[in-house]
Amino acid sequence: MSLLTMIIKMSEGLSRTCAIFFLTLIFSLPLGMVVTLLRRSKNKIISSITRAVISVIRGTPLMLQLLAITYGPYYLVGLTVSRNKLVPVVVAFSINYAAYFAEIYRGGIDSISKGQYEAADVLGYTKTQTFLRIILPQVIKRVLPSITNEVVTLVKDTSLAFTVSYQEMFTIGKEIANSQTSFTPFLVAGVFYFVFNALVDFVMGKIEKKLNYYH
Amino acid sequence: MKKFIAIALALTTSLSLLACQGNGSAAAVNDSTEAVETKEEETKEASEEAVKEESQEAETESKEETEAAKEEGSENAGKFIMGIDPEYPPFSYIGDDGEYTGFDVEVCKAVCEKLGYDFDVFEVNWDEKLIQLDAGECDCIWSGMTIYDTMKEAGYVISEPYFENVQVMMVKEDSGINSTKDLAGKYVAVQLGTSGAALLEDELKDLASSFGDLVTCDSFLKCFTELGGGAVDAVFVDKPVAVDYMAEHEGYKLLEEDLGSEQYGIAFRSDDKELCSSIEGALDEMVADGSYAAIADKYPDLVKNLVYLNK
Amino acid sequence: MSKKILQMKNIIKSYSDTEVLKDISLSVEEGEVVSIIGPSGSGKSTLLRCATFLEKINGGLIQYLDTVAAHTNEEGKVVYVNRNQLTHVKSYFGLVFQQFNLFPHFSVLKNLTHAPILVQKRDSKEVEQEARELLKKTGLEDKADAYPCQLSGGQQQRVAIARALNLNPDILFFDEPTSALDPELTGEVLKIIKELADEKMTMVIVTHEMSFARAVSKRVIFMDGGFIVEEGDPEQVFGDPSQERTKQFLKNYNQV
Repeated sequence: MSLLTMIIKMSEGLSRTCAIFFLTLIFSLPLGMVVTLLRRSKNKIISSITRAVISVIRGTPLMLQLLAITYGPYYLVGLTVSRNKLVPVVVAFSINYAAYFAEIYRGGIDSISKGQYEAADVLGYTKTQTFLRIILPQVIKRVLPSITNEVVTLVKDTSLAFTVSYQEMFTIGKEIANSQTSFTPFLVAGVFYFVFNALVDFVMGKIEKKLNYYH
Repeated sequence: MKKFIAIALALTTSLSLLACQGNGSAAAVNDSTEAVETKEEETKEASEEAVKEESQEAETESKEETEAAKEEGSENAGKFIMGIDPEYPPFSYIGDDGEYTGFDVEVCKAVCEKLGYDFDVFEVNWDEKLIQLDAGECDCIWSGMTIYDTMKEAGYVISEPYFENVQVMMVKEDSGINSTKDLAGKYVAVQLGTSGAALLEDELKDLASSFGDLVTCDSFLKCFTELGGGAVDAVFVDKPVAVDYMAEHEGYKLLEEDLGSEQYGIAFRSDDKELCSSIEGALDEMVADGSYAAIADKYPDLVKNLVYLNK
Repeated sequence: MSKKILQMKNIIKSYSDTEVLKDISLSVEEGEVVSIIGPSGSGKSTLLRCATFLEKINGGLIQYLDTVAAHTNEEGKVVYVNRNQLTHVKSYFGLVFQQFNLFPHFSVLKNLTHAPILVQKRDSKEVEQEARELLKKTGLEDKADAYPCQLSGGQQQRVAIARALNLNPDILFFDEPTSALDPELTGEVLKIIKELADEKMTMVIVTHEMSFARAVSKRVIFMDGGFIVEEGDPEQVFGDPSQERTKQFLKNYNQV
């Protein structure tokens, strides 16, 4: 198999890699914020349940969660295993990343001084207005470097979709490697990931720079 | 409870499997020149490494030679490390007691006892098994390994085949699928890196292209789970593995069609011809004294495929 | 008799077991400048925080103009007005913090205009116009587009004052407005407050700046241990305090 054929074959999987990547971000970034708010809830039951769930998700491998989400319903209650593996893959990835994002957000929210809330309160902002207009923009700026870290990890983690036989780029690379007895597909995969992450770095860098107008 | 165990098993299996799934498999049915070239290069590199490690290996080798000379000697002849895929029941797997077992493992243990070796096991990364063999991490690959011409071309010493394997299509009993023709448009699962996967890519290409989709799983258990869970309609799998699974799970059947066969053998390093023949000799002896059949009896599904018992 | 902007009656505030405010009453008339002095821990900042609803009182009554915002009912429980009414009451006052608490992600101008536009739903052009005038008055007209991090502490506090004023409050509270500033920067902030006093802005100032309090206020309140110890004309309180504790405090203060 020529290098070009290899690259073309693996590029076909790249669209699926991108699907995992973007869908996971679209769902997990807001979901993480919801989880943070539940975690910070004044209701002790809600906050401790959320804390326990976060701890389980962060304390177990993503690969295990992928298997649990994909095959768990079948083994537990006999539900049909999804033919389109993108669904369980994105669900598992979104839940996993939401847990990490939630902890990052929480750290960011906790780092905002009480004075910001008080100033907004005295100026008449409602709780929602305070959160959306005053706190959140500052939190986003503060957590952005940590978010970038997670996003870069996510690019590489997409290869875990292989666990449930979702034909993304790395899975195809593995298959080619196996059938051609060649290491080259892994090299190609490495280049793909590197370029992907270089793009991520570039975009996140732009956003960070854009938010850099204040300290 | 059973379900719970099944999940736990599925999870652990896949974890270790992912750790194992690496690169450059030797499962190359494709005898394109490129593949052979790669293999030859690997062998060259490996032999260079071997030179470096000469001093270490010299000891073992001399012991092996004396052993070969003694033939039936029973004193300690050094270590013999068996390279296995620990997830390939019934040939080599982790038994109920957590120890490695399986047909290959039991036979190899008996051979080691006969030849006076200290038996040891090395879990190979199946995709890199020959590289690991070259690197001296184990002394043979003996784990339901399919013999390919490319292995011999690359200079590995391969034993006489001891097992003939048949690939089968496993479906649900009530699926209404009775022949491979019924598989048109259906979802079929196959394990990555297995001979079944290779067959579908090469000799059975036309059949494969009639499928709705070919789903590649990284373990047999996942293939079976996909089938059980209804995500696929058939699993293309080694017959003994399928028979083994069907013994414990009801509601499945095999399509009675010959879709391809392969032979299992033991692979040794290129300079281990004598080791190979001493082990083949020991196997012959075991067949003669009935101890081989005694082990085989524990694996009734394998018996009719075992070359040594059907000569 | 001029109208009362703020009335606080029999205010009780305690944190778990510690009673910080013990039956405090304070009323402020329109145009009046009241300074609250006292040692740290005397409860003067807490009083301000109760008046601005940053802390909930455990007993007593808070009334702004005609609206009773909080009172103790027959069962002895403190009842606050509902959220909408409270938001309305909040528009009667402004608060300037010790730590400025400007919004770092907003420009100076947006710090001033954001709340009037969002909260009070006022016309943005009109609000901006007023904001620019306030900035001019506080000597910051060239800083409209700057961000708080680019300003000195004194400038930030002036922005904070302008921000509070831009909501057109009836009364302005200052919580130790110069305590976080370098000594050389306090002057510019005190000057603004003095100008506001001259314009008859109603103000309550918690401060450690004794000479400033003496010069600017119409009435001085000395608090200690959760009580109002002494209250009166600045000349009287500073020059001839009637209470032993006031004398002691002022004596210690002058020594420092």
